[in-house]
Amino acid sequence: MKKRFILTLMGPESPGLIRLLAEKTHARQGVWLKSKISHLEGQCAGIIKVEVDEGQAEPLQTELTNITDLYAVISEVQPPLPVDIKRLQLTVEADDRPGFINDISNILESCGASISNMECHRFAVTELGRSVFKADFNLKVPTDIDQDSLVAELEALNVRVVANILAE
Amino acid sequence: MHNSHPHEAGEDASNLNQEKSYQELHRPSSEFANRSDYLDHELTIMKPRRWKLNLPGRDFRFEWEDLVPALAGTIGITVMYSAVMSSYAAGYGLDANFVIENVRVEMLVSAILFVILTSGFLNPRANLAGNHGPMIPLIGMIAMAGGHPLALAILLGGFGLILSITKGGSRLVKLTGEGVAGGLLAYLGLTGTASQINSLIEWAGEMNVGYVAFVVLLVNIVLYAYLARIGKRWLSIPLCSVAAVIIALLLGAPFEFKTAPGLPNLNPMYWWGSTETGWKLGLPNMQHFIASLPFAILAVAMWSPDFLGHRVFQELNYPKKAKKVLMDVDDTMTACSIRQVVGTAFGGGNITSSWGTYMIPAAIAKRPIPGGAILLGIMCVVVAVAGYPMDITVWRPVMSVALLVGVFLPLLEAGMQMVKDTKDTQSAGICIFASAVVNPVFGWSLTMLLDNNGLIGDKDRAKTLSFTDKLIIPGLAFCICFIAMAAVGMLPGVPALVPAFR
Repeated sequence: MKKRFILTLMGPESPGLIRLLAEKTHARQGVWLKSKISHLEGQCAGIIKVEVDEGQAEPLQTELTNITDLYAVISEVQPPLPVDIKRLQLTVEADDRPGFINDISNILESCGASISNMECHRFAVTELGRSVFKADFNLKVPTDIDQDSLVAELEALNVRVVANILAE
Repeated sequence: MHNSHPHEAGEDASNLNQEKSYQELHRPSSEFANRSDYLDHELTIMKPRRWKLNLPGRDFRFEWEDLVPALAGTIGITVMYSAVMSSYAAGYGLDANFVIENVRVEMLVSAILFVILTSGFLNPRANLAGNHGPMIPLIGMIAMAGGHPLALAILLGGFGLILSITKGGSRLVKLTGEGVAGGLLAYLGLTGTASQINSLIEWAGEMNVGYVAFVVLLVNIVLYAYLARIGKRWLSIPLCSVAAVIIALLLGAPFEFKTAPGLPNLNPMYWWGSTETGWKLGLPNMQHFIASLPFAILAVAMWSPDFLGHRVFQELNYPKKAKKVLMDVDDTMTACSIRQVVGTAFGGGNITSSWGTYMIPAAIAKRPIPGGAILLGIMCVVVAVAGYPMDITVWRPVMSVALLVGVFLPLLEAGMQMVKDTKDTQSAGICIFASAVVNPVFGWSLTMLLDNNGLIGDKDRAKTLSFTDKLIIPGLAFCICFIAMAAVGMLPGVPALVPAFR
């Protein structure tokens, strides 16, 4: 079974520090899932998400926190709690503008919704020389999602947006 | 005492409203804080009956705002019908009297049977069947290719009915990618724009008032830009037409009223039964159907996105609760299909589609379909019988300017707006290239096939399409169009496969 933890580190910048951390992780068959390292005025700070076999977790954590001149803290990553999900159909119609699909996706993600299927179309309103946008989504969402807030957030994206949740 | 939850109370009120009739829910405008609230309320309480009798007072009302789409639609359609019939007349060598009489036929038949009766009384959820603007630049090609308006109408009406019965419109929307659709619209808009500017300059030269064309165009560029700037583009047909009339007359362009009040010949045999009267083509034969087939396929393929554009625009302008007054895409397609066959059977040459110069102002004015439709129908009948207004709409400065600002420039802009991403510009460019080599039917069918298979444009989109949408339908469309065009000699430099067309 795999275990995940976050290593937060801070210390004087030294050549080979990051390579040392990586080698120690690799020696215990661990991997870095995500990392962010910054250097400033000779100091180094970083945060690394590590995944390793459960039996190797404690020795690896000990090795990482015992590196000389490095201040390192381990935080456990709790496995996500199982969330009850339900399915929703959502339609969004709007005046077309660049980046609109991206904005919708960000709102859906922030509400914990995942997109199972998406169909987007732009239709020319030839009399006006512009286009309108229509998208149909099949979503998986947490059962306790606030549908009214989701619709309100989507409808605040453009001057003119109509969002409708069709069915559960 | 029991206090219901506000949300529940709202639901109860909403359910009660569902049960009550429009008459019971109607409240006079004086009870509302402003006119906009009153119009919103009207839209939310109406319950139009589909394919049943709807009556003024019982199911809908007339308001002053209904005059906005009625006037805009009447002016727009008179110009467009005049443009279509003028193009056919030029292609078949028919005279100006044919143009005026045929416009009258279309105005009367479509206004009485379809605008007033169908969209006004029988199904106010079917948008009015008007003119298919993007097809106007193709009219000359249809005539040159040996097409026949009645054959085209029968094919288009048949395809439309099949689509509305099978609900196949949504599949057609998926088939044409945004790059191809944008390229097609841009090409049609550009060729139409160039052709109208040339026609106006040529006309002015022939009339020995060459400068009139330049001044009319210059003023209208500024006016059109101003209307776009203030977001009133939908007013461009009436305002720019009026500007064209005033400027051209002031600068000395010759004009005279010729048409007297009267009724056109409504006998189908006059129009189609002989090579001496009406269209002078006689009834269509198999060759006519083959030559018309590619254009009918393209016209019906452009119906669904056209209808859906109008429907989404209407929804964006109406209050959110006004679901029952929104146009029904399938009902509109049914009405357009029947109108296409019946209108042409009576002699008319129009190619129909959802009536945009009515729907856009109606949506902006927050009015439902039926009231404005009946007013518009009456106005069309008056124009058709009076005849004089058509002398203005077929006058070159008015026709060219109205088509430029009301059809071709917006078409060009809409096409360019559809093409935003690099991957779409590739498909659009190839569609324009192929359209210029043969014609837009060839351009559309070829690039749709290439685009849907990921050979050009967006490769990711191709992965999402089914085998049918990738190969079978686009492949069939291309093969049928290609063979039909080869048969009648539309491929440049290649003799017609059918000897009768050589």
